[in-house]
Amino acid sequence: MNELCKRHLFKLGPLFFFLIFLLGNLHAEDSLTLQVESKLFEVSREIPGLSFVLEVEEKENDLSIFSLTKSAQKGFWISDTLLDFRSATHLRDTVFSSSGIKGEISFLIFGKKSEKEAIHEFLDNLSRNELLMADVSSKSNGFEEGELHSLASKVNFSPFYGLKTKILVDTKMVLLVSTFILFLVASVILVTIMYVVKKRKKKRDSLTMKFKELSFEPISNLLFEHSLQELQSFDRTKFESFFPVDHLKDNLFKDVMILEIISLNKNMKGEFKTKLKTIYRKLGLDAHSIQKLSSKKWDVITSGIVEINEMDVVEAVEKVKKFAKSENFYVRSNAVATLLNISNDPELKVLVDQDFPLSRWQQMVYFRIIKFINNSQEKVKVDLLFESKNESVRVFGYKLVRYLGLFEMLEILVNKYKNASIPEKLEMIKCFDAFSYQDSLNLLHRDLATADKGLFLGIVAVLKNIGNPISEVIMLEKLKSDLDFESKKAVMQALHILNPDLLEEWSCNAKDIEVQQIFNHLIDPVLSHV
Amino acid sequence: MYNLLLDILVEIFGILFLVYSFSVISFYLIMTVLSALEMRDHLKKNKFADYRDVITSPVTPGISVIAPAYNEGQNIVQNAKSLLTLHYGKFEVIIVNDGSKDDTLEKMVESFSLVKTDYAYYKHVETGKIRGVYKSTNPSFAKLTLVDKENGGKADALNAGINLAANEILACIDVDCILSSDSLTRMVRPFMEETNRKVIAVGGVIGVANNCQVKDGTVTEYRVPDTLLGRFQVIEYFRAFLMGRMAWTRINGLMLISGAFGFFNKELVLKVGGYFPKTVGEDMELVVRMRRYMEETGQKYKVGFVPDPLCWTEVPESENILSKQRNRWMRGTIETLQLHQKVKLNPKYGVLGMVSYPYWSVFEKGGPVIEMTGFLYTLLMIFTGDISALYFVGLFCLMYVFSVMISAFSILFEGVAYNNYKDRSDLNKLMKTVLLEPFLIHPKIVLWGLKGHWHFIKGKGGWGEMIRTGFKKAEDKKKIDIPIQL
Repeated sequence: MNELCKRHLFKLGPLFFFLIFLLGNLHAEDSLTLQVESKLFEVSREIPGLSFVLEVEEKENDLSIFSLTKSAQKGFWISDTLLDFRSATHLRDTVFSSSGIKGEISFLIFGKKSEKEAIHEFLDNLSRNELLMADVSSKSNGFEEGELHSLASKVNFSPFYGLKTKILVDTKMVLLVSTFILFLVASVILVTIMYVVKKRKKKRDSLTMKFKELSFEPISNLLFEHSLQELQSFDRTKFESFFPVDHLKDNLFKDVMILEIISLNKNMKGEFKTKLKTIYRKLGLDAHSIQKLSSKKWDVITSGIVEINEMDVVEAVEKVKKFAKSENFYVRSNAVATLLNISNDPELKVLVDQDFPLSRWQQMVYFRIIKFINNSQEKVKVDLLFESKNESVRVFGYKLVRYLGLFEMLEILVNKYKNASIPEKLEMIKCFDAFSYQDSLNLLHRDLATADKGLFLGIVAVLKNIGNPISEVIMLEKLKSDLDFESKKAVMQALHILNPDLLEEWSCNAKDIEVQQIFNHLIDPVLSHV
Repeated sequence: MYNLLLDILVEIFGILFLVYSFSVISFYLIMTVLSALEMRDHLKKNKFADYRDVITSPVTPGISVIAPAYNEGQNIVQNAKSLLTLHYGKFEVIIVNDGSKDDTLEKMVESFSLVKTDYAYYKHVETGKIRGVYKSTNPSFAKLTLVDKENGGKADALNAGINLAANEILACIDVDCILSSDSLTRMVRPFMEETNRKVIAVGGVIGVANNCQVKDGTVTEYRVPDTLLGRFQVIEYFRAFLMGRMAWTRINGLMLISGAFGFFNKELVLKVGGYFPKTVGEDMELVVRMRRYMEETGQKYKVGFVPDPLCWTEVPESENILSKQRNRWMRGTIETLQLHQKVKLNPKYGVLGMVSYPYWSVFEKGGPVIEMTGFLYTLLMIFTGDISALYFVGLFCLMYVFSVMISAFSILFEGVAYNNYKDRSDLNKLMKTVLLEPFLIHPKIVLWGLKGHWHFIKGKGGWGEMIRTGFKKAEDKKKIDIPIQL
């Protein structure tokens, strides 16, 4: 190629590309028209809001025979709005074949005239939102039905949506599957745990039964066939020879033996108790109980403390002491009970130092122990409890005065009464009542003016039993004031005991219905026994 | 346009049902874990409790046992004797004859040498007219008090008993319940143990006595009932008491203590005004009101629960009676939740407001409505052909397996904790019931619950009207359901 030719080619190059671009554009426009029209042939009726109008430009001839009407625009004829594209094209073709005039089909979207591009976009939008299904018929793909069948028989079937795809694209299904998995995993874990626990419990129960049988006979033999001196002279090996050697190192066997010994210990007295403790110690079970105190499980620690308590393992006192202020209620309660029982502490120091409030349950347990110590060993110094910083301990101390019959403490109570809190006063006055302590009367009379209803009722209950004529006068005055029903009843009950004539005289003159009701109650012979 | 809207609605409903199912499963799984932990702790604690002292110790609190009776003439004397022989030191028994139409009063008077007295008491709580207070001339029955009053319903009768109660703990029970002789000693323990919080109420387990052998007031041999409905209730009671209430106790969220066997702090009951007589769910309502009081006054408190088998009752084995019971329970629940709406999702009420109340609203009250809507939704989807078979089958299997699993777990749970049903054939029967329950019984329970909703909307037994229910047994026997205008 010569230089001139090359130069011409470079000049014509842009022109060439421009032509190609134009051609492409023309082709695109053409193909757009074709695409839109071919699509509209199929689906125009299914598209809501899409309609067509045929417009024909004709100034001379009358086209009304084709159901066309003259437009306001001069020289134009238009058809009615047509919903079907096929009808529109059919009308256009009819007009053309009859009159040789080719009309134009206009597209209307929701009644508004639109360009072909807009129609194309509209159709695309509908397809994207799956409101208009793409036509996948064999015709559009150029296949005949028979051909499709023959093709299908040659190609392996694979569904368009695989199960995996379907599950993953469906939000609900994803949620369902995850719920199912969560449930299955959780329930399998739970049931497995429960099953294992049940199996273990069953195994433990059967072993416990077996060990009970194995240990009961040797313990009974040792207890009833040997004297205390003999038992004390036996060494550990001798003791172990009575028991099945294979199980002696088994912790469960030791636990069962301890429980058996404790159970017998509770039901026996005197020398038998000492014998049981000897067996317990000689078999080294005390070490097993002490060992439990090192556990991290509160129930194991508590069972260790209980065993130490029952078998009086005095040497473990120091170890138990550290649990006396435990956060755990059961550990703390049993540790305090054990210390009260075995630490030889008549000053009840462990109680005085308690930071936690004492519950009634604890008071019940401690009272049993303190009563036992007080009656069988050494007199406990309950008065030290009155000095505790813990109010519930002080209240418990006052209760002990009453329960243990510590009459000599009443003087201390009288001295403390003035500065005591209401709960303390309530316990103190019960003590005065229990011992009919007349010296407390002045305090009680003074406190009848209290605003605390509980204290007032408590004092009246005491005055009912130990009151004097001054009490009668004060209570009668109180009765004349505005008392609630409960207080009125309590005062009248007290007066009824102290001076029935005085009450009768006053009641007969009183116009208060409640007073009459209460008086009738008090004189009812059946209720007087209740 | 409308199709699009329908599609969106269908989609939203589908997701909502799925979220609901997911929540149900999650809640139940959490409850299962919590109840297991609580039961484990309870059994451990029980090992260290010596109940012998409770009976004789001067420290233990006194208990007033209140038992309302309506048309109980047939068994009242035996029941009262059984209550009087409970093993406890300081207690009294108050039987309230709630205007019985039979010979309940006469039998009591005759058997216990009762005479009408001039008993003076203060009406802390307003009640129906009291016709008389009876005490025995025989000192052996000094603990017994009989209150004769005009009929006013269970709550009103309990209130009458509360007015007369002299002790600090109230034990409100159904007179026809069988109580274990050590029931008081065991139920009083939570009240006695707590140190930092006030125990306001303690609930107990109700066992199913149908078919069981009873000796000296205690069930000695456990057998499952012969009917499917009876066995279903055995499982239901396991689920409700051993799992549900134990779990709520773990988080101190218990909102319901059974009216047949509940213990309350008297001082607090009086402070909140006793039982509310205009609801059929008086037991639940009282607990919620007491809890509200404690929350509003900023006091630390606890509602306890004792899962030991101490109380048994005969459950209805006829569909007619059971449907009335469930209808009543549903109305009681709705009424209580309506009354205490203030609590709903209110952080001020802690667990009560943020967990218990929403749970009861959605799963207990709303359960039947949501289930029925779900059922209708599924039917609609099948009808329109718009249902994914995979989705439907998946969800169905999930819920079925789940319900079977939870029920089976509750049986296993009972086995581990108490193992009362020792007979293998009984366990097989229970398992069979577990498999059938979702198909044969659960739909009926849903329908009865919906009926409860409907009756509430209509005002039957609701705010405007009150049903003089009498008491379960008596009512169920007589099958009466007479609404009266207040």
